[in-house]
Amino acid sequence: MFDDLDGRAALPCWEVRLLGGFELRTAGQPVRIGAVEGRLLAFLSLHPPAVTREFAAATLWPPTADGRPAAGALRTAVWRLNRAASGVVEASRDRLMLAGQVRTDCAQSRDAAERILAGDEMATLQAVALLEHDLLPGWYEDWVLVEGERHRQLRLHALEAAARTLVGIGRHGQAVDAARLAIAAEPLRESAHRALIEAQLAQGNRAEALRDYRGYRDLLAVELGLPPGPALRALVAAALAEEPAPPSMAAIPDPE
Amino acid sequence: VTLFGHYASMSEADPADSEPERERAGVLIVRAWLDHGSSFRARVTRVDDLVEGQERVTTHADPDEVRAVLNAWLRDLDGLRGSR
Repeated sequence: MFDDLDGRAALPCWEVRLLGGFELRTAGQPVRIGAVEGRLLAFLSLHPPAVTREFAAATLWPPTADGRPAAGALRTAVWRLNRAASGVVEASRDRLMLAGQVRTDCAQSRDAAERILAGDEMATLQAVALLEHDLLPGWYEDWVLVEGERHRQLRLHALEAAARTLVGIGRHGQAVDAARLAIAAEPLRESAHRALIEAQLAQGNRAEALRDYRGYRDLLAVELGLPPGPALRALVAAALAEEPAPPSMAAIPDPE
Repeated sequence: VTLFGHYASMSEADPADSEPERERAGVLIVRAWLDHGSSFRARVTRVDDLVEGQERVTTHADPDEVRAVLNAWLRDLDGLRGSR
């Protein structure tokens, strides 16, 4: 904890990470908390700005034998959480929320994705790394899966948009990286492969583009027994037609 | 599409008064999309026991295949009733 210029004790700055896995950090260091407290913190992170105690208890704990939400379990979790991470949760009589100084990577990632989709070049240059991971992989509760799928769709679209924007401003290497992140998230997504191949072609890496195309075509054949779509085949066919293929590429079959 | 399955068997005569003696919950996640309007694609993630957390992932180009996976998952869950 740090003192501010007036000598008052400043509140610690907490960071909740949900992308790629759960972690609570302060001053750059991870903080260990229990699994139950972690679930509560993740739940509050995904439900800004505040939730009722009743909603949190009913979602996170099964009802008691008489059908009422597990208010006691929630009270215990809040107490333990604020003991381990002082001030991370603000609790009133009927509501809970993350304290104002708590940052969450999911909020930063969502903000970055929306700015990228709006064509913000500065965000595109700086924030693609925030779109690298899924939200809480391996957590299967319904309140996580719904938000996780929403985040996943947003980041896939944003990564492809980032690749296109980066090509447009001549940052081809970063465009390739963004497209590869989209492909890693969903290897069978054709629009992600198209973004990658367009970035390679824009950079003048025709051989790399054809190699990427061939890899995707083979994956698609093995996984689904399908060829690439006509638009992607036409893109690669046009690239092939532009100039003679180098000898090393002669073995690559033409697009169907 | 996300489906949750939950199975619990009770040890006492009155389920309201007992804790589950054996509980299993699973999840089936179907991600399906149309790529540039050209073809149906789906990735199905199946977790039969969330405690173990082992994922089985399959990919499909035919909606009927996805239906078959869904039916098999539901049959497996329903079959737990006879395994207590």
